[in-house]
Amino acid sequence: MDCSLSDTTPLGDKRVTHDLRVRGGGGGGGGGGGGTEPYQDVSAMAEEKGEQPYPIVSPSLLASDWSNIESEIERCVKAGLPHLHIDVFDGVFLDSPYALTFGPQMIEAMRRCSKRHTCKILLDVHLCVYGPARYVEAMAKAGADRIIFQWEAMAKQANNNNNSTDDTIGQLEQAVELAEAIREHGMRCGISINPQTGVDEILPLLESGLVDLVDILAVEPGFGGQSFQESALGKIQQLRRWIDAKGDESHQVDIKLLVDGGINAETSPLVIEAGADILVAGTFLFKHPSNISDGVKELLSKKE
Amino acid sequence: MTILRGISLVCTFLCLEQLNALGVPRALGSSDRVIVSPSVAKADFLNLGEELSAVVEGGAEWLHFSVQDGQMVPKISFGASLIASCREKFPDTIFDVKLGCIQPEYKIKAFCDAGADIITVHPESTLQLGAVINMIDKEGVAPGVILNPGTSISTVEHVIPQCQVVVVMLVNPGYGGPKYMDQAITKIQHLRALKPDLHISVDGGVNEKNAPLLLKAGANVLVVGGGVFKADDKRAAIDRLITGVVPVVNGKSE
Repeated sequence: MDCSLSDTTPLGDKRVTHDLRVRGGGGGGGGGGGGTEPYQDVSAMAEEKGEQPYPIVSPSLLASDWSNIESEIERCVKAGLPHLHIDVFDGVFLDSPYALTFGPQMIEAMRRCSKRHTCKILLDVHLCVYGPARYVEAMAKAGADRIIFQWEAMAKQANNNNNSTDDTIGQLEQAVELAEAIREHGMRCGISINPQTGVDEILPLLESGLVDLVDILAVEPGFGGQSFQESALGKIQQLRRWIDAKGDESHQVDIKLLVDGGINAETSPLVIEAGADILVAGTFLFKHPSNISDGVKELLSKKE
Repeated sequence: MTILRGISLVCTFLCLEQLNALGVPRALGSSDRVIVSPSVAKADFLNLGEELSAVVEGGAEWLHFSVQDGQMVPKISFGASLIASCREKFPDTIFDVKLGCIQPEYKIKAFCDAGADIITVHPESTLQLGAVINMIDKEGVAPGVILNPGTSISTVEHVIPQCQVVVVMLVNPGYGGPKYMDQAITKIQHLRALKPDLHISVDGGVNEKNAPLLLKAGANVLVVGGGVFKADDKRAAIDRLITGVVPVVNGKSE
């Protein structure tokens, strides 16, 4: 993997570093057409200049042309977007016929693309399936950098007290077990919550230090054409406050806030202001009237 | 009369062109011929358009999309969005969609919209197979069933009259492993006798060596994998499958 995990540090001091600097692809591209100019990584370049690298845009490939994924990845990377978001849905956990997307084979193909073009791609796999633990090994082999698993897929276990807080204990145990398995396989770990789930439910998991990303879904996953739900903004703000407060304490916390669903030029300033680090955009970028780069500029430009 | 007939032929042709453009399912044609249906899962996902073009140009009439949801079959492969991405590139190719999904009744429409010309389902995936076959039929898509090695024909006999395709699996889907050749051959013979114009497809490690045996038993559609995609001369590889020519090695036929 391209990133390093500091997994031997005590709980609460889980620093994750990742280097998205890419090498130039000149000369190695061969006859295929891509890779004659170095891939630009905006966040790494900004870091070099001493600027705040976040927020960044992470393209969701769900909206891309799946018959030509190599070109689509090239388009993203050339637009300065090497941090790719892939939704792996099985159409079972999410009860929607459109929510069956891809499996490890597609992840493996995307990883091969980065090797072929000697560029570094960060592959975030959002695993929203029934029984996610089954796919950890396959995803690791395929080359996923991070697995973002769905909190609601952690089944609530029966309890004797009927105390609502006890319901989440079973979920927490499962989540911790899964997060540990993901990290043991050399991948980073994120947690995703759907619109119905409150931030409080996942705070104990964040306390464990096993996850370095929270994926706040601003639409119901698995169904197209939905509008951004403003309740996501409150969640981003709440998590931002929590992360910053933890950062003020003795141990460091490096958890990124990702928001996915309904991100466009109208909603992006709202989520950035609320404190989001990573904006996942799909249709807005791939179906942009001009090109992906212009789409990214629109998403990240500050509005007066 | 001739002029009228000519005009009606032109009109029919124009209508078919428009219908194709609208994505209306294509007719399968007769089962008297051997059809090669390369499995998309065995292609390089990085460049599906190119990979599939090469086999279609090499003589593959169908493209086999084996959809797996991790439940009916222990793998997740791909869904309607990938099929829809490919549909535009292959307007004349039959999209042969095998639904390895539970509760297909809730998924049929999505795959019809994505451009399936055939949808086959496992009888074990649904409580009422007949209803699912009806649904597929009503969409104008060719319905069919998939017989795992452990599935007997008796479970699907009631829907065979409506089916245009039956897929006979040579292996346990998603697991691979040893082939159930004898049982498959018996099933193929039985199916051919049951419905002479049925498209009988075989899937699961079909290659140049076992294809002649399967074709002789009565199968007419060969779902194939790496052998075709990796071949330098795809047309030759597909022709060999169609004609049932057994490859000669060291001067001996295998």
